[in-house]
Amino acid sequence: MSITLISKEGAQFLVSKPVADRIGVVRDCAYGADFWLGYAVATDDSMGITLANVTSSILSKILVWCEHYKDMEPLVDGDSNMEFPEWDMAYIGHDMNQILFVLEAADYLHIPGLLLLACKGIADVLDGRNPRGICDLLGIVMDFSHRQEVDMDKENGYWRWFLHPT
Amino acid sequence: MDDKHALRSQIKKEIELLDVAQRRLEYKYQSASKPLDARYQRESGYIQASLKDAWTRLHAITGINTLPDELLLDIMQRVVWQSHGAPYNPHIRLRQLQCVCKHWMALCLGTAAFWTKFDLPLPTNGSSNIGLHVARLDNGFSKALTRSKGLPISLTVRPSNVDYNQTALRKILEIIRPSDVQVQSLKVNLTPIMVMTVAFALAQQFSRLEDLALVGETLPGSWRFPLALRTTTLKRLRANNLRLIVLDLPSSLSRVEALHFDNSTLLEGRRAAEDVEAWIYASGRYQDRGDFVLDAAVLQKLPNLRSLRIRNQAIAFPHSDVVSLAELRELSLVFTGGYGRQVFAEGPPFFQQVQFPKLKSLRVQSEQGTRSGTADQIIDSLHPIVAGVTSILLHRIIPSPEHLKMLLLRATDLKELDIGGGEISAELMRVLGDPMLKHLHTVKLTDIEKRSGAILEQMLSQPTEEGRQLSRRWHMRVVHSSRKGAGSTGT
Repeated sequence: MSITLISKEGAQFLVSKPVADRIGVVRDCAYGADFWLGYAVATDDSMGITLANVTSSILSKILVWCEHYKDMEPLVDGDSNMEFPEWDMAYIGHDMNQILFVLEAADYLHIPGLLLLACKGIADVLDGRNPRGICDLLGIVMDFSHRQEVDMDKENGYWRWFLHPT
Repeated sequence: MDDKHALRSQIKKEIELLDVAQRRLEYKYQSASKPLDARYQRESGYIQASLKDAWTRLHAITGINTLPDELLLDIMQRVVWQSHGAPYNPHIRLRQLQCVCKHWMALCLGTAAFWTKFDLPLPTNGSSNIGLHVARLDNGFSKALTRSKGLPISLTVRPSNVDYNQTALRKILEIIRPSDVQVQSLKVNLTPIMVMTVAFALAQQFSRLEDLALVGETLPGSWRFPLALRTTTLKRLRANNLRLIVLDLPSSLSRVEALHFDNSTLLEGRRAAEDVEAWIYASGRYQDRGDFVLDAAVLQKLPNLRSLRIRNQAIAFPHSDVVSLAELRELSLVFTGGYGRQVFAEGPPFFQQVQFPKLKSLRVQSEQGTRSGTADQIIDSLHPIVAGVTSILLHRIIPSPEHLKMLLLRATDLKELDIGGGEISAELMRVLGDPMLKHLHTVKLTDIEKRSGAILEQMLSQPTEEGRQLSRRWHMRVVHSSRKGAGSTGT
């Protein structure tokens, strides 16, 4: 059995059932369980399932992951020090924008294993960066008031000293 | 969602236009072949400011801050707690995240789980201002503790040789008010001068402690740590280099599930005062090596013990009662090596004095390689306890084939054997493929010599019964790379 998935741009992806089963909303849609939630709409088998919020490029990337895990269970839970397989880490890469798109799509499509991997990927990219570096990378504006900055400096000074006492 | 996409497309278009404008500007001034003047700076500055603004707006609707808080917290937790990367300190990473923006700060400060692990150093410099240290502890550590909002905390106090570290230690203990703060895990690096302060605190506070690690110094000489616990909830007790821990209330260990003793032993106070302690010291070598001495009086009061790790030789005190550790599943023995035959001849055999009826996993390791005779002796001493064991690991303890076979034949339920850390001879390899070992279905060869790898390949290619059995059981081979040239890994 095959299922056709349709991306935001209308591109069609024909996938086997084990691959499609990795995608929560598709699984629910195909079996009708969460049809009413409107995550995806399949009005007719021949029309396929439209994933209106996922672009073709991200959907094709996600299907690579689903294909890899069609016959085995991905990691779906674990502590912060859990080691992911090498394939997973190579798959997710270090491109922050790309990982964020994958994470958003994994959240929308209900793919817990990929969501976990994307969180791990982002954490690895953020690891070791100072606040300014994180802001630059993610386009976040440091919006602290002067008072908050003074308080932070005071507390940071304490921890700096405390972690490296002389 | 559609509005968001439309807005995203609009901002992306805006960014593209600004990029084109910037390129045009550069082209215009470069083709004029004159140095970039103030007018260029002004025009370029305007474009760059607009670009930054556009990117900020784009990130505001597509970036990380559009994620639900639970996802953002999941990412933050990974940044804070993952233990690799440099430098590892949860509080440094937490501070870095906290200083990103107001939203992140609110998440960091409001998430109690971030404020549950503390790794506190004591002053290491004799010229430090102890008053300042105490004042900073009072401000920073107290404030951070309040953010844990009553969740169980884990505390590590790092060592120091400075005389006045006791003052700082007392301050830390004072800040942790038992009524407000629930310490679940405590690790203290001890110096002799701190012993009584820590012992007193353990007897008076930490009523909900579940994990206790006491780490002494590797200095020669004797220690005597008087352990009296207020808690009755302790599940894991680890002791390193403490030589003797004298336990005042053995009943406080009734829920202990894991005991890890490195260069330490545990005696009941009454017995210590009698003759066990004297016997230990009279044996002469204890101060140097720190064997684990069986005190039946203590082990009998550990009905829930499931994991026991002992470093150095385990010996039984003469006239000790036989003890049964009814729930023990994992036993780990770590030898520092260099023993001669005479060592094992002293005292009654430990494994005849202690019974492990439910033992499933046995790990025997040596930090240095052991001589074949010593390895055989260690292996023979295990005979009384292997009957129900399903998994055995032997690392750097490579016995002779006959002794290994005798052990494996006694381990009638054995399913997995992991052997390595040295050379596995062809004879030993044949034992691993012996058809008589019916239950054995997995053999791992870890960290073996390169030559052993070649022997394995040869065995597997032979059409013998041993070769076939080994081929069926063999699961993994890791050849040590630093020992014999280039290494390889195979499965």
